Amino acid sequence: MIIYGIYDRVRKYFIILARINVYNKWYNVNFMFDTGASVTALLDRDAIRIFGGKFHKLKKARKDLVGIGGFADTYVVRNVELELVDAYNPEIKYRITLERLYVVTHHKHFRGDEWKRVSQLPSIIGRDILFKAKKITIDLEKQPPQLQIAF
Amino acid sequence: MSIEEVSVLYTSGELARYKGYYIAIRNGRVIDKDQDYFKLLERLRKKHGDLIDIVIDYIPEKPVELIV
Repeated sequence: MIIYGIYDRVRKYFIILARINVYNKWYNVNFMFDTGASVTALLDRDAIRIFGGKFHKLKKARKDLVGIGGFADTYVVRNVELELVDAYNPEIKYRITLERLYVVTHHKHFRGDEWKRVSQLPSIIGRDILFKAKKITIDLEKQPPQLQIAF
Repeated sequence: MSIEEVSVLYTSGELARYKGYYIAIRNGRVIDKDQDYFKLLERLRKKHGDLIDIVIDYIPEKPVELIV
Protein backbone atom coordinates (compact mmCIF):
# COMPACT_ATOMS: atom_id res chain seq x y z
CA MET A 1 0.00 0.00 0.00
CA ILE A 2 1.29 3.45 -0.93
CA ILE A 3 0.20 6.66 0.77
CA TYR A 4 0.99 9.83 -1.14
CA GLY A 5 1.59 13.11 0.66
CA ILE A 6 0.95 16.63 -0.61
CA TYR A 7 3.61 19.26 -1.17
CA ASP A 8 2.62 22.61 0.31
CA ARG A 9 4.02 25.08 -2.15
CA VAL A 10 3.62 28.08 0.15
CA ARG A 11 5.33 26.68 3.24
CA LYS A 12 7.53 24.24 1.37
CA TYR A 13 6.92 21.06 3.32
CA PHE A 14 5.03 17.83 2.80
CA ILE A 15 1.63 17.27 4.37
CA ILE A 16 0.13 13.91 5.20
CA LEU A 17 -3.67 13.84 5.32
CA ALA A 18 -4.99 11.88 8.25
CA ARG A 19 -7.95 11.19 10.47
CA ILE A 20 -7.77 10.47 14.17
CA ASN A 21 -10.41 8.92 16.37
CA VAL A 22 -10.96 10.92 19.54
CA TYR A 23 -13.89 10.05 21.79
CA ASN A 24 -15.44 8.06 18.92
CA LYS A 25 -15.32 10.91 16.44
CA TRP A 26 -13.01 10.95 13.44
CA TYR A 27 -11.26 14.30 13.03
CA ASN A 28 -9.38 15.37 9.92
CA VAL A 29 -5.82 16.46 10.65
CA ASN A 30 -3.09 17.62 8.28
CA PHE A 31 0.28 16.52 9.61
CA MET A 32 3.63 17.89 8.58
CA PHE A 33 5.94 15.07 7.49
CA ASP A 34 8.88 15.22 9.89
CA THR A 35 11.43 12.44 10.05
CA GLY A 36 13.31 14.56 12.59
CA ALA A 37 10.53 14.13 15.15
CA SER A 38 10.65 10.93 17.18
CA VAL A 39 6.95 11.07 18.03
CA THR A 40 3.68 12.19 16.45
CA ALA A 41 2.07 15.19 18.11
CA LEU A 42 -0.97 17.37 17.77
CA LEU A 43 0.00 20.98 18.17
CA ASP A 44 -1.96 24.03 19.23
CA ARG A 45 -4.36 24.62 16.35
CA ASP A 46 -5.48 21.01 16.10
CA ALA A 47 -5.25 20.34 19.84
CA ILE A 48 -7.61 23.19 20.72
CA ARG A 49 -9.96 22.43 17.82
CA ILE A 50 -10.27 18.78 18.84
CA PHE A 51 -10.09 18.90 22.63
CA GLY A 52 -11.50 22.38 23.22
CA GLY A 53 -10.32 23.68 26.57
CA LYS A 54 -10.73 20.30 28.20
CA PHE A 55 -7.05 19.46 28.55
CA HIS A 56 -7.53 18.82 32.26
CA LYS A 57 -9.23 15.57 31.23
CA LEU A 58 -6.02 14.42 29.55
CA LYS A 59 -2.99 12.91 31.24
CA LYS A 60 0.07 15.11 31.53
CA ALA A 61 2.94 13.62 29.59
CA ARG A 62 5.77 12.40 31.79
CA LYS A 63 8.18 12.35 28.90
CA ASP A 64 9.75 15.70 28.14
CA LEU A 65 9.50 16.63 24.48
CA VAL A 66 12.71 18.43 23.71
CA GLY A 67 12.26 20.94 20.89
CA ILE A 68 8.62 21.75 21.42
CA GLY A 69 8.68 21.72 25.19
CA GLY A 70 9.73 24.78 27.15
CA PHE A 71 6.60 26.81 27.69
CA ALA A 72 4.34 24.11 26.30
CA ASP A 73 1.87 21.96 28.19
CA THR A 74 2.22 18.41 26.96
CA TYR A 75 -0.38 15.70 27.37
CA VAL A 76 -0.64 12.15 26.17
CA VAL A 77 -3.61 10.22 24.84
CA ARG A 78 -3.23 6.45 24.82
CA ASN A 79 -4.21 4.00 22.10
CA VAL A 80 -5.51 6.42 19.49
CA GLU A 81 -6.75 5.08 16.18
CA LEU A 82 -5.23 6.96 13.30
CA GLU A 83 -5.63 6.66 9.54
CA LEU A 84 -3.22 8.05 7.00
CA VAL A 85 -5.17 8.91 3.86
CA ASP A 86 -3.71 8.82 0.38
CA ALA A 87 -3.68 12.30 -1.16
CA TYR A 88 -5.00 11.09 -4.50
CA ASN A 89 -7.33 8.25 -3.56
CA PRO A 90 -9.22 8.62 -0.26
CA GLU A 91 -10.17 4.94 -0.40
CA ILE A 92 -6.56 4.07 0.33
CA LYS A 93 -5.97 4.35 4.06
CA TYR A 94 -3.33 3.02 6.38
CA ARG A 95 -4.79 2.47 9.83
CA ILE A 96 -2.78 2.06 12.98
CA THR A 97 -3.38 2.31 16.70
CA LEU A 98 -0.91 4.76 18.11
CA GLU A 99 0.10 3.77 21.61
CA ARG A 100 0.79 7.37 22.58
CA LEU A 101 -0.38 10.52 20.82
CA TYR A 102 1.18 13.65 22.27
CA VAL A 103 -0.90 16.81 22.54
CA VAL A 104 1.03 20.04 22.89
CA THR A 105 -0.34 23.49 23.60
CA HIS A 106 1.21 26.84 24.38
CA HIS A 107 -1.99 28.85 24.64
CA LYS A 108 -1.90 29.32 28.42
CA HIS A 109 1.49 30.95 28.19
CA PHE A 110 1.39 33.09 25.09
CA ARG A 111 -0.83 35.88 23.85
CA GLY A 112 -0.83 38.24 20.88
CA ASP A 113 2.17 38.03 18.58
CA GLU A 114 3.80 35.29 20.66
CA TRP A 115 0.72 33.10 20.28
CA LYS A 116 0.65 33.85 16.55
CA ARG A 117 4.22 32.62 16.29
CA VAL A 118 3.74 29.36 18.18
CA SER A 119 0.39 28.63 16.56
CA GLN A 120 2.11 28.50 13.19
CA LEU A 121 3.51 25.13 14.19
CA PRO A 122 1.62 22.36 12.43
CA SER A 123 0.87 18.99 13.96
CA ILE A 124 3.70 16.62 13.14
CA ILE A 125 3.87 13.01 12.10
CA GLY A 126 7.05 11.51 13.44
CA ARG A 127 9.14 8.38 13.30
CA ASP A 128 6.82 6.42 15.59
CA ILE A 129 4.56 6.12 12.54
CA LEU A 130 6.88 6.80 9.62
CA PHE A 131 9.33 4.05 10.55
CA LYS A 132 6.56 1.48 10.24
CA ALA A 133 6.87 2.07 6.49
CA LYS A 134 8.79 -0.29 4.23
CA LYS A 135 10.03 2.54 2.09
CA ILE A 136 9.73 6.32 1.95
CA THR A 137 10.48 8.10 -1.30
CA ILE A 138 10.81 11.84 -1.88
CA ASP A 139 11.14 12.95 -5.48
CA LEU A 140 12.06 16.62 -5.70
CA GLU A 141 12.45 16.49 -9.49
CA LYS A 142 8.72 16.00 -9.93
CA GLN A 143 6.44 19.03 -10.07
CA PRO A 144 4.94 19.27 -7.57
CA PRO A 145 7.52 17.38 -5.50
CA GLN A 146 6.26 13.93 -4.56
CA LEU A 147 6.24 11.97 -1.31
CA GLN A 148 5.37 8.27 -1.26
CA ILE A 149 5.16 6.18 1.87
CA ALA A 150 4.94 2.44 1.22
CA PHE A 151 3.57 0.30 4.05
CA MET B 1 -12.90 14.87 2.23
CA SER B 2 -12.47 15.93 -1.36
CA ILE B 3 -8.90 14.79 -1.73
CA GLU B 4 -8.37 16.19 -5.20
CA GLU B 5 -9.38 19.67 -4.08
CA VAL B 6 -7.22 19.47 -0.96
CA SER B 7 -4.22 18.56 -3.11
CA VAL B 8 -4.89 21.43 -5.50
CA LEU B 9 -5.31 23.92 -2.66
CA TYR B 10 -1.88 23.14 -1.24
CA THR B 11 0.11 22.45 -4.38
CA SER B 12 -1.21 25.36 -6.43
CA GLY B 13 0.16 28.06 -4.14
CA GLU B 14 -3.38 29.44 -3.76
CA LEU B 15 -2.86 29.66 0.00
CA ALA B 16 -0.52 32.62 -0.53
CA ARG B 17 -3.70 34.71 -0.90
CA TYR B 18 -4.38 34.21 2.82
CA LYS B 19 -1.13 35.48 4.29
CA GLY B 20 -1.56 36.59 7.89
CA TYR B 21 -4.83 34.67 8.34
CA TYR B 22 -6.00 31.57 10.10
CA ILE B 23 -8.09 29.75 7.52
CA ALA B 24 -10.77 27.09 7.86
CA ILE B 25 -10.53 24.40 5.18
CA ARG B 26 -13.35 21.99 4.42
CA ASN B 27 -13.34 19.64 1.46
CA GLY B 28 -10.40 21.44 -0.06
CA ARG B 29 -12.04 24.86 0.09
CA VAL B 30 -11.35 27.82 2.34
CA ILE B 31 -14.71 28.47 4.03
CA ASP B 32 -13.74 31.17 6.54
CA LYS B 33 -10.75 33.18 7.70
CA ASP B 34 -9.73 35.48 10.53
CA GLN B 35 -6.58 37.05 11.89
CA ASP B 36 -7.62 35.80 15.34
CA TYR B 37 -7.60 32.04 15.83
CA PHE B 38 -10.03 32.05 18.74
CA LYS B 39 -12.58 34.28 17.00
CA LEU B 40 -12.49 31.98 13.99
CA LEU B 41 -12.84 28.91 16.18
CA GLU B 42 -15.83 30.34 18.03
CA ARG B 43 -17.57 31.32 14.79
CA LEU B 44 -16.95 27.89 13.28
CA ARG B 45 -18.22 26.07 16.38
CA LYS B 46 -21.43 28.10 16.38
CA LYS B 47 -22.01 27.32 12.73
CA HIS B 48 -20.69 23.77 12.40
CA GLY B 49 -20.53 22.26 15.92
CA ASP B 50 -17.77 19.69 16.27
CA LEU B 51 -15.13 20.54 13.74
CA ILE B 52 -14.42 17.02 12.63
CA ASP B 53 -14.02 17.76 8.93
CA ILE B 54 -12.70 21.31 9.17
CA VAL B 55 -8.97 21.90 9.46
CA ILE B 56 -7.67 25.25 10.67
CA ASP B 57 -4.42 26.34 9.13
CA TYR B 58 -2.30 29.47 9.41
CA ILE B 59 -0.52 31.14 6.53
CA PRO B 60 2.36 33.31 7.77
CA GLU B 61 2.78 36.80 6.35
CA LYS B 62 6.49 36.26 5.85
CA PRO B 63 8.28 32.97 5.24
CA VAL B 64 9.28 31.41 8.54
CA GLU B 65 11.78 28.70 9.31
CA LEU B 66 10.20 25.90 11.32
CA ILE B 67 12.69 24.11 13.53
CA VAL B 68 10.74 21.23 15.04
